[in-house]
Amino acid sequence: MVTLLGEGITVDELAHHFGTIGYEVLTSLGSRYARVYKGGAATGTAEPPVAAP
Amino acid sequence: MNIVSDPKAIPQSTLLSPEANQAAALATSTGVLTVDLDAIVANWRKLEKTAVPAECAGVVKANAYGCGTEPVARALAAAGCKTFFVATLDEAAAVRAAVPSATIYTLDGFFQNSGEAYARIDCRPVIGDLNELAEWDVFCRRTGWSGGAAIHIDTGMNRLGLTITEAQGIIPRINAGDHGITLVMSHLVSAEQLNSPINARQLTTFREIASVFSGVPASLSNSSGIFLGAQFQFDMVRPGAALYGVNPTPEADNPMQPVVELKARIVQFRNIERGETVGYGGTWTARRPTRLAIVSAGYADGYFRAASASDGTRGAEVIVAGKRCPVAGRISMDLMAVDVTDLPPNAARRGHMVTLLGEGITVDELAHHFGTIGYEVLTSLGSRYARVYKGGAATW
Repeated sequence: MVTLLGEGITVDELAHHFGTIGYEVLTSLGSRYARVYKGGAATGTAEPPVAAP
Repeated sequence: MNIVSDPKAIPQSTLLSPEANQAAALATSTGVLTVDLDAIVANWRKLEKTAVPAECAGVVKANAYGCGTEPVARALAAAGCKTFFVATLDEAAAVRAAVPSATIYTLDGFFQNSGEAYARIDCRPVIGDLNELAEWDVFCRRTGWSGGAAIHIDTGMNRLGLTITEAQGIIPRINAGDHGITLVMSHLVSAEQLNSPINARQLTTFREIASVFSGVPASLSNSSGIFLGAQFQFDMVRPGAALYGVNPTPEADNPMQPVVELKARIVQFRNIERGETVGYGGTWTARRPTRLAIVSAGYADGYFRAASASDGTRGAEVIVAGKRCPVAGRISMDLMAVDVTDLPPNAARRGHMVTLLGEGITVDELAHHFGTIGYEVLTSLGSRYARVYKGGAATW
């Protein structure tokens, strides 16, 4: 896997290349990725991508 | 008695008709995305007729370009489409569920240890690398799976696909028969530019290599490639964007019908004085006493922030009560402001829907304001809208 966001590539850096602000980077993250949660109250589990309603 | 203040909490009533339940659901949604399945089918038929005798497949990746994999795949299958292209295995599974008889190709290639998933779904990898081919062969030998695979040959994109030399290396296998290759394909770089010299170069390269894959059906053209002429059509064409109303011939009028209509609700009106600014950053200044309609759609709904208007830059337009009105200020995450000063009083009211896409606002026009192409407009359509399907074989 290669890293598109993280390992020093910040949301704001990506926003700069997208010509927008970090808010839009985050709200545009795709639905095809597997989503993994770290930490929090529950143990993180990988969820399959959810089909758009 | 408990009064339900959030209309979304109202359960689907068995006392109401499906239509009345749908009306109740729409009444609570901030936006409505309407997908015209009959228009998708009409576009497919037009492309099929243009490409005949080549088979016309349907590309339904990325949730059918934002339009919904299952209803679109079903409508295309009912019209006679037999072969579907997707990007990922999840998308392949969605097509398989919708169309049990479909032939499905997965464009993103073959990953090691994913053979079982291909066999379970019964879809075919589009193989673009000799390592992938070796791994696929191992899987097929081990399990006896013979579902078939496509070979992708790179003719200039330098993205996925075997080099010409690599492709020539597997000719002996093709000649030996029982090779398990059901399609040989390549992808055009600049098909939407009629006079781009790379079109002819790719055609020549692909024609030569496809001719030695004897007996294997060949496919080169995407939506735009279909309009480059019969010699680009080979045995199968693979339209995607054109099915969904994106103009495949941007240098000429759009031969396709519009498919997607997007409406969002006016949640508030406000009147401001000359000199007041609108939205984040205060980038848009009222040059006259101005009436604004605040509309419940923003960049989190796929209405790009790039469509914002400032004092120096015109932004996108939306249609309010049948008339084009300009966006005022920056597009917010969930909201945008529209200058409705020029509308007759009471032409639009709070709760009315305005049109963001449709009524003459094309996907390609929106793409222009978003600083992108129609493909990205469609694949960015938000998930918060209520989705309504018109036409098609089944009721949705």
